[in-house]
Amino acid sequence: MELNIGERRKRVLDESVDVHFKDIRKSFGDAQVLKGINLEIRRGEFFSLLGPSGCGKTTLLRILAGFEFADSGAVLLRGQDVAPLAPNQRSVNTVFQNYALFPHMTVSENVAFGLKMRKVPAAQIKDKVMSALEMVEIAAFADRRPAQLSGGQRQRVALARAIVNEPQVLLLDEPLSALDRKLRVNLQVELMRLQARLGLTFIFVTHDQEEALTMSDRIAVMNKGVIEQLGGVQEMYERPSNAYVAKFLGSSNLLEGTVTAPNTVKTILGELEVRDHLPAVGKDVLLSIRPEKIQLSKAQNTAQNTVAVSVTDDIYQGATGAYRVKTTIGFELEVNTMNSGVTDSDYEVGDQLYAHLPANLMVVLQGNSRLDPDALEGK
Amino acid sequence: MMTKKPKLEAAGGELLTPRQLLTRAAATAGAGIVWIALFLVLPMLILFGYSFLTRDELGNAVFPLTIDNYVRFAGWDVLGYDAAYLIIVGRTILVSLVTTFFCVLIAYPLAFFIAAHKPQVRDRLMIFVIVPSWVNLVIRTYAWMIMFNPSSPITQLAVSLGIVKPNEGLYPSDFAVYLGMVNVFLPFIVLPLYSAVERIDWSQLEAAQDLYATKTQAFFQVLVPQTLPGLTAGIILTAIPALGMFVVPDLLGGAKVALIGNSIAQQFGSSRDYPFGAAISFLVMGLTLLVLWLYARRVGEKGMRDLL
Amino acid sequence: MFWVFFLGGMTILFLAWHFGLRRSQVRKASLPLSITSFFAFAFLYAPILVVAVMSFNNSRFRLDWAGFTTKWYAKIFGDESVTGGLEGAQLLAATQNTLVLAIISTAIATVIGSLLGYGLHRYRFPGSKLVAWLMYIPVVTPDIVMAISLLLLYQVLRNILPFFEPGMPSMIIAHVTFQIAFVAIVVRSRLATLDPALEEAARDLYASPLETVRQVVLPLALPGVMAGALLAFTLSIDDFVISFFTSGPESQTLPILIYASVKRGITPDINALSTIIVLLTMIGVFLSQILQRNQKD
Repeated sequence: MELNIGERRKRVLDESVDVHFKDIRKSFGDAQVLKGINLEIRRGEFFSLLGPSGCGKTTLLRILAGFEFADSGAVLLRGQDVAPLAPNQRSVNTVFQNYALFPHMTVSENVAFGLKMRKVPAAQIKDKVMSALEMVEIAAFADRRPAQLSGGQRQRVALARAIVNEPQVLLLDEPLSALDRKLRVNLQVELMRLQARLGLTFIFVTHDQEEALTMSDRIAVMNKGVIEQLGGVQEMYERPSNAYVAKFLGSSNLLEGTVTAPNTVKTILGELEVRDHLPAVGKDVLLSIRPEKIQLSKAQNTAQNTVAVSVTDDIYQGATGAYRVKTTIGFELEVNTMNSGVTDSDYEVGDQLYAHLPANLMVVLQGNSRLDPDALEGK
Repeated sequence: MMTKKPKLEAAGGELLTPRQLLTRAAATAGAGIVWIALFLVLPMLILFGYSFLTRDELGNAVFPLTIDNYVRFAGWDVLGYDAAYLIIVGRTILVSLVTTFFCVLIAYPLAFFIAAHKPQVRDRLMIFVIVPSWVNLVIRTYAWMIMFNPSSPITQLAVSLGIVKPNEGLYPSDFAVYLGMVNVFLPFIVLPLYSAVERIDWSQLEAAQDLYATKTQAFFQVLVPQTLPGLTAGIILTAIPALGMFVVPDLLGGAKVALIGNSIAQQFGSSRDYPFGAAISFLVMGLTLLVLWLYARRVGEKGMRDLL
Repeated sequence: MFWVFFLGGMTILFLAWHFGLRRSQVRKASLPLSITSFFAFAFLYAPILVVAVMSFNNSRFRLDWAGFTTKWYAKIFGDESVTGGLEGAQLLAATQNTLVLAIISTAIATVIGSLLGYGLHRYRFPGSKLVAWLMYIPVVTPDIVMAISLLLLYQVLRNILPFFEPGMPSMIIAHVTFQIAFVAIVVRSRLATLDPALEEAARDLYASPLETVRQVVLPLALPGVMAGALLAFTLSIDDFVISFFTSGPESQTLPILIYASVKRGITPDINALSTIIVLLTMIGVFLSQILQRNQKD
């Protein structure tokens, strides 16, 4: 049953909650790794925990799996507190970052392991293992040892080994990070298809925001032990809630300004019209606009929200072009364009252009209304 | 919802309470720890205690406690000062250092030579280095006795060169002892040294030359320092056991080259002065423990692995 | 003369060595390096070869070459007609003692030592660092000090339990003591190379703690345990000093027998005996090394 990826996005998810993290706190020695995480993950959804290394995402996953214990807070799996359960008593399976395949067992034996431990009858094991191997398209290697497989193949075995047990929730700890780009992209699509087909709840940990955006239904962006923002993929990308998310999920141009009228903000680029919900007149705001939303043109443009700029950097990226442009005052903007073949949009360093920032595409960020370089770096 | 007290984590996917941890540790390592405590630690303590006992006329070790044994070792005996034992200590240290020196001298080129070959050949060469070390010490030393016997071709060559008088063998002598010692301890230095040489990053040689160093400079200033941990381990594995060696000086040195090991053996053999023997042993043991402790402090737990 | 043959042979051997190894060199090894290494190997193997050669010498008392013979080997394997040297019964008893001692002590030490290595690797209990350090004492300490301390221990314990008279039990205990340290170190080393995620994966896949050990840890640690056992066995067979000081009149081992014979005067069948021991030792070492190399999974 092939599922069109687009259709996958539109499928209606069961509203019931599979995993509930309640105010989870965890420290390792003096370092506070999780500072009060509240999170509900719905049944059947592909959920990603996204953040830089050290933000606590893997720790959260391990607490659910049972390899770490939260200092305070509770974890509920389908309503049941998992705290008294050892890892081997939880209906949760993990795909480890380095696969952790048993080197002394064949692929089949690896995949059969969980079933064997749960005393599933031998005949059933054989069938289940076969169908799991076929589902990840690795049946041909059933009798090989992990050492004889490539990275991508081992990945699939790790996946098969986990899903064959039909867990309530599947945890994936950066499973694709060790693979090269092309392979990774292919496996991303496969994982999505697999998840839709099986209907399992996936909790996916990654530091790669592109990966999270591609695969997930919802994302939680984590930073230094807290969740910065939580929501659907599109919502989070188009409307980041604070500067950190704006900069972490894709790239962003950030502008400080002060509200001068209900729809106007005075910034270093002049008075800009902003359609998004602004605070009261006189208050400070932080605005964000994505590089691909800014429109460049050679022709003179006197419309509202347009600035004169000159190109300072021009990076050819094949399908896209990344430009750095500077205004007359010296303020820099990042702009991305599509390489659609229109010669007019092929700019060079030194070109004098006009940059238009559409009023409806400027986003008002919550949190600090002034730029804090440390906060942006996640310090 | 209240949660239980935080638990300890032990590697391997298990969360254990402190009590569980101790139970499991006792179940596994417990027997070994008890054994070591009883048959390794306790004897060392007894050794220490014994060294303060007195020897009576019958040769038994009795109270009262005294430091006479140590005093005697330092040279002050009933008959005045005689630094005999200190001289023996000095000689032993000298032999140990010279042995170590020659072992290092031979081991370095050997290690680099082996490391220059491809992996399978390297491994095989190393096995060939190790094999002699597992042959019985007595047998190997005895072989030198054969080779240095008056009627052997080697001795006869020495005679014709005038180094040795006719009808005398090349042993018993200092030379024979040194040779025998180096023969015994050479593999002990090669092993850790080779491990270190094997791990050298040879690209650093090129990097150094790129930064204007000559080949020799690069070799000695960049590569050789990397072998230092292995060298240190090897020196410890040679110099310390060499201090206590008694078979080699006994068989190849006879009475002329008595080392501290021989003195100790004597106290437990013909002289039957156990407390005195214990005192000497304890001094050697103390030195060993000191070196081991300092080494452990320097290299940490991971570094200790170089020793085996 | 002897020297002509000898030097000629050495030159040929060296040429074979030098040019034979050239082909498998990843980096070029200079001539001086090759010469030094050749002599180092020759130096290491000289004693072994000498003993082997002499074992075929048809001479009862002297070291001059008196013709080729295999009678000393025959004697060791039971031929009573050969005169000179050791008593057959003595030899048999010593061999028996050596093997019994080695087998029993290795068995005990492998079990206790492996468990110790595992416990130290897995559980961070108070004092584990100290114990880990203690394990290196038998590795570095001169044999004679170990021997003496055990001797004195037995002296003291003898007053409490007559069990500790000089003899086989005392020797077994002494051997096990240093063997445990070596086994524990080797096993621990091997366990350290295992990916900790493997045990977590097993738990994740519903294995109980015991099953995790049985299904995952043990199979992967086994090469280490075997290597440790082999090491322990070789150490025991080889040991002279510790055995010497803890043995009784009935429990002479082969190394002790050889030493006593050597002190008394050179006996020709010692050469044959030694050569046999050397061969067996070599086989043992090769096996152990192959096992250790197989650790590189």
